[in-house]
Amino acid sequence: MNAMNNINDLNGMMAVNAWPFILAAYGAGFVLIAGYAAWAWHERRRLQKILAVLRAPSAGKSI
Amino acid sequence: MTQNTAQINMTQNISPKTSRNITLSGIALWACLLAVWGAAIAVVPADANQGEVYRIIYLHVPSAIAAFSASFFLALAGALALWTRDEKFLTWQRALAEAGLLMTVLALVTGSIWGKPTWGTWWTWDARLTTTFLLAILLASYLMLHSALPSGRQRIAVCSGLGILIFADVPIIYKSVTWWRTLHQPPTIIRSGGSTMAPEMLAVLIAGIVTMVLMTLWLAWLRADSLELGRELESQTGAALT
Repeated sequence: MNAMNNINDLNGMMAVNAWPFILAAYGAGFVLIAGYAAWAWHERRRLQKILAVLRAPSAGKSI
Repeated sequence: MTQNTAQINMTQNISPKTSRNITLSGIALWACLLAVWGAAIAVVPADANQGEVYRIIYLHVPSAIAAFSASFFLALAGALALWTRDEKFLTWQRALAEAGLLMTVLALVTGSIWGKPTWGTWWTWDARLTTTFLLAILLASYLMLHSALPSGRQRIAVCSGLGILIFADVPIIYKSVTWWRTLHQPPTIIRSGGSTMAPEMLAVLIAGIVTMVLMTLWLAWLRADSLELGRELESQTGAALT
C-alpha cells in the first residue's frame, strides 16, 4: 500500500515543527556543495600557482 | 624560455579563457541555486498533506537526479575511455564520481531528515533507500580503485568498466518503488496520468532539478580541470602533486 495514503493517519505528525528539519536539510546541502566547491577551487588555485612558478622567467636557469 | 615551460604554456588547462568560463558559469549556477532554494523555502505554498516539511523535496529530488546524471556521464566517459584509451576521460570519470558521490550522499542525508518527521524514522532498509545507498558505496569504491591503481592501460580498463557497471544501479533505483513494496513514495513527476503536483510547485522542482544537474557538471568540470593540472605537473616534474 502506498505509504502516502497513511500520512493523514499519522496522528501528531502535523504537530511537529518542520522548520528545524527544513533548515537542517538545506544547511547540509549548502555545506556539502559549497564545501566541496571551495576545496576543489583551492586545490586548482594551488596547482595554478605551482605552474606559474614553473613558467616564471627564472625557471630552469642556473649559474 | 625552456622547452618544458613552453610545453606548459601550451597546455589548455591553464588557459585564462577556461578559468574565466569556470568562474562565470559557477557564479551563474550559484545564483540560480540560491534563487531556487529561496523559492522552495519562502515562495511556494505548503503541501496539503505534509505541510511545510515537504519543502525538502526541492533539494532531495534534484540531488538524487543529479546523482543519476553524474552516474550516466561517468558511464559515458568510461565507454569513451575504453574506446580511445585516452587518460583524459579517466580524469573526467574521477571528477564525475566525486560529484556523483556528493549528490548521492546529499540525497541520502536530506531523505533521512525528511523521513524522520514523516515516516517516524531516520532510516529504513526499503528498496529505494537501499539501492541508493548501494550507489554511494559503488561510487566510493570507484574512487578508491582509481587512487589505488597506477596510471596506464590497466587503470583505464578496470576503472572504465566499473564506471559503466555503476550506472546499472540507476534504473534499479528509479524502478524500485514500482517493482517492490516500499515505504518511499512513487514517482512524483513522470507517472501515468501526469504529475499531480500543483503547477507552481512543479515549476520550482523542475528548475531545481535542472540547476542541480548543471551544478554537478560544473563541480565535475572544476575538479577535472584541477586533476588535469596535476597530471600535467606530474608529467613535467615526475612528482605526484594531487
